[in-house]
Amino acid sequence: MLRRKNYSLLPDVELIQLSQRNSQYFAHLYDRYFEIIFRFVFKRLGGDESNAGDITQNTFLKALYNIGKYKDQGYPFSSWLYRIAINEVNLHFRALKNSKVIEVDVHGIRNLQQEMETEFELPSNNLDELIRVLNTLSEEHKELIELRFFQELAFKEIAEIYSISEANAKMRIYRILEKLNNAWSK
Amino acid sequence: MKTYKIKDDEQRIQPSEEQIQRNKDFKRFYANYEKATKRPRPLYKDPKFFFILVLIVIVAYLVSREA
Repeated sequence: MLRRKNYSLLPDVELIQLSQRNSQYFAHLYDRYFEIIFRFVFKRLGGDESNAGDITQNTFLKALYNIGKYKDQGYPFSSWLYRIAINEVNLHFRALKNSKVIEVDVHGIRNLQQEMETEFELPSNNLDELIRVLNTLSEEHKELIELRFFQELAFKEIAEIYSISEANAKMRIYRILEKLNNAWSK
Repeated sequence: MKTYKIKDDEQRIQPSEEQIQRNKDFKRFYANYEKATKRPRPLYKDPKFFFILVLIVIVAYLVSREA
């Protein structure tokens, strides 16, 4: 029998199985993943702490409600949590109904700009123009751009969140960059 | 629909350690979970309420016999 303090050393798959039997064990998964999910939501809300806290709690609540249905499909547990968090953030924005302005940090937008420059040799250094064309994208495309350039997730992580291959994730991002480039050229 | 604008200062949007700790609270989280999932105990299973119910029935019975 493991002592309580050793539970935090168990791999995710075992903690998930324990949580499926007794929800109290979910504390260890909560402890392990709270910070990354909170950071993720916080950034997506442009630094709104209060709503980020609520959305993160809702994300974990939904995860715990559904932990019984969770099946290990070879993706990390975190990708499942990310998916729930993305849905929760989208629900939040939908509930606001009116358009919402999100502040993105300069670092994130420069990441995107650098990628655009590499791929399409854009001469402009105009971040405002980049924001303008970014705002013309669909919500789905904005989400992918956010994950890649503002949240700085690796293609592998994006692929895990969407349950697609890494190559497919790269292709989707590239196509969105192309779209941005076309909108920029207009 | 959301739109983006660039944050004015050069600071990156990251929560501080204090903000993370302020929001990380498993006890509160678990209490919310229990509140949402646990059914409230039926009144008749509450010993206090059951006793009061029995008392009311007895009083009602006695009153009806007097009348």
